[in-house]
Amino acid sequence: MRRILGLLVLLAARAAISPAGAIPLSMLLFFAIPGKAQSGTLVGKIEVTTGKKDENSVIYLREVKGNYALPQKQAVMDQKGKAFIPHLLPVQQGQTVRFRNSDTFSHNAHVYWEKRSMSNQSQPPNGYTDWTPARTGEYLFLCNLHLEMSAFLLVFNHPFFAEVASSSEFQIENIPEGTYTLVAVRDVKGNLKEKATEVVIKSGETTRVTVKF
Amino acid sequence: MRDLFLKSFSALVLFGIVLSASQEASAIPAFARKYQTSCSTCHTVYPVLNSFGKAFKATGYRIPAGDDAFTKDEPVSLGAPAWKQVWPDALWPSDIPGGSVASFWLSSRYRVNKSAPITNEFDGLHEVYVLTGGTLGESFSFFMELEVIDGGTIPTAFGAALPRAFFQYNHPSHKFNVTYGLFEPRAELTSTRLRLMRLSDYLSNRYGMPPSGNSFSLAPNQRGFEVWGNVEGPGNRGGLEWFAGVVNGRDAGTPPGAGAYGAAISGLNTRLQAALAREGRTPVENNSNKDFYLGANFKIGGMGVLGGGASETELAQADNFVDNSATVGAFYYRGQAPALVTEAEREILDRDGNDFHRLGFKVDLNLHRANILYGVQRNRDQVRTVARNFDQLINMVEVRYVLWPWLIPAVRFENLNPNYGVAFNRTTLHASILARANIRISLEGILSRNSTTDPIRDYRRYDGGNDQRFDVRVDFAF
Repeated sequence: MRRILGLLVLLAARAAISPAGAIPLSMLLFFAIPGKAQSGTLVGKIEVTTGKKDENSVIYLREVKGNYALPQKQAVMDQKGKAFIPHLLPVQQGQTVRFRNSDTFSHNAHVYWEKRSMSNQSQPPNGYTDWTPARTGEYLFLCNLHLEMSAFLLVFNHPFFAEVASSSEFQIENIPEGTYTLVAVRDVKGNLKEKATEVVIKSGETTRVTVKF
Repeated sequence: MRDLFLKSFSALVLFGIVLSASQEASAIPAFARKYQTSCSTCHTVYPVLNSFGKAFKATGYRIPAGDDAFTKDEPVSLGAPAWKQVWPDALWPSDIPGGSVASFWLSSRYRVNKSAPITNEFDGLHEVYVLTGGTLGESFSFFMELEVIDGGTIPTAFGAALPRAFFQYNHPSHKFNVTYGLFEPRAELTSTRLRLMRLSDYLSNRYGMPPSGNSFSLAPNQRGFEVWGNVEGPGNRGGLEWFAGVVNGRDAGTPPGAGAYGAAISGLNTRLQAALAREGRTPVENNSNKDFYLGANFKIGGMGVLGGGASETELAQADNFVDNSATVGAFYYRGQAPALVTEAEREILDRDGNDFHRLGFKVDLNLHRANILYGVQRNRDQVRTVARNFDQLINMVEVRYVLWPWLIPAVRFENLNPNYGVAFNRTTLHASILARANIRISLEGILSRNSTTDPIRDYRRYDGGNDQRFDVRVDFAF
């Protein structure tokens, strides 16, 4: 609150001073953006013992409040070697998912949400289609042309998630300090299973966690 | 005979030491191919199952800790598992084995029998089996055994040429499963197909009731269905196996195959066939009257019956024959068979004349490297026309010891005590040498004591016609 009030005062002061005023913009930004001093970093590892070991996992923080800008990087679900890559794709609500076909034959991305068909688009060889999920939650991708293909899309309303290759490390930065529920998600025999654990994020610190799945 | 046995055994041990000191085997049957693991993962000495192998069988031929992580041979997908979420708007997904599911088991024997017209002979290729098994998705599995050569001849009867062929439903909890087809029932003191001593089968599984004309035997197979399940014990150790089944019951005609037991009771079957011919009837199959059975085995200690306690990250391929535990079990089998009865000095066939049952109890101990199996079985045939019960009490003790992982000696003692004749004993001595995990040399000798030449009481006739036999056998599987 004090930072916000300070910002307002400086904005008013800047407005009163000439455009080439002495108050630098960077100082204003310092008050506007929560810096490293108010957030921490989460690093960790998922040790995989269930499901197919070559399939990735997703980790995310549950129930994080706030408004966050969309990531700049394009979310891509590739179709290559008759497989969706990655198997679990996390995105932020509002992001568009590009279904790219890297095979030399056609594919089709059939999107389901709670057993309801939401989208069914074909992608020619080396082509792509775009689709934007309307809501948060879990979506299922299947290919009507190649039944062995499947993948899941997880849509969150914040950017605090990570895609984790099997038994690899992950890192999430700039997490507002506080206590959260960290959830690891994997595909186990066609259904997403979760493992939850509590983590405490402290300002300027790195919290380490290992999830066994 | 004993001197010959001891000399041959010593020579075989030395031979085995030389062979087993060489490189490891690389040939692997169907399950071993699927998981890229050795036979010794599931077998103490094939086909005898170790505790992990029993758990693998109990989970429908799946690795107890989870098949996906251990499967090296990618199955052919009939739909990704996630298609389940779309059902009923799509087919429920499944998969079929990706690679070759066929395995081959070949055996050859050198036989010594001082009482036979030919006292010793090489039988060339005595048995050739094609075995196949695997899983179909998460919930189904199958197993099939095809005899290409049995006893040196090509079998022609269906039950001989295809001794086992069954399909299974496996509930994910493994507490309830259904086996349907042609299979060996669990209602036995111990399995005929998975036994160590190949020369002699268990009297409790194969011996008929000669005076009643009943050639029924629990093994080698029955047609019907069996429901069964396993529940792991506290702390994931030991546990309970339960089972029940409804089957046709084995026919009273000529038993399938030309193995020892087919020949062994040929005198009985000759009489059966003669009685049928007099009545103008074809061989009898009591299909309208079904047999049923039930039972349970309870394991105390050791690995859980569903693999509890086994590593969840690696498959143990060595030192996995130790599983200190005790199993107690019991079963009851009831059936109906034709009875061969004498009327007016002629033998006739009473189609439904024999209500019989088999009641068994066993204790199976694993003590470090030793396994001790004790079983007792009471067989009763109730022949209505003569208002008489024919009983047998069979006691059996079998002991084997893993001296080294490649050298396993064993001995079995059986006593059959009937209420209609003279009791007899049979002692079987055995030693298996694993030249490789899939190559076995075994030395086996049968000793039995008989006292009369009466066709009913000459039990040697039910044991291949001889009371002392000695085999050297080579088995290899791939």
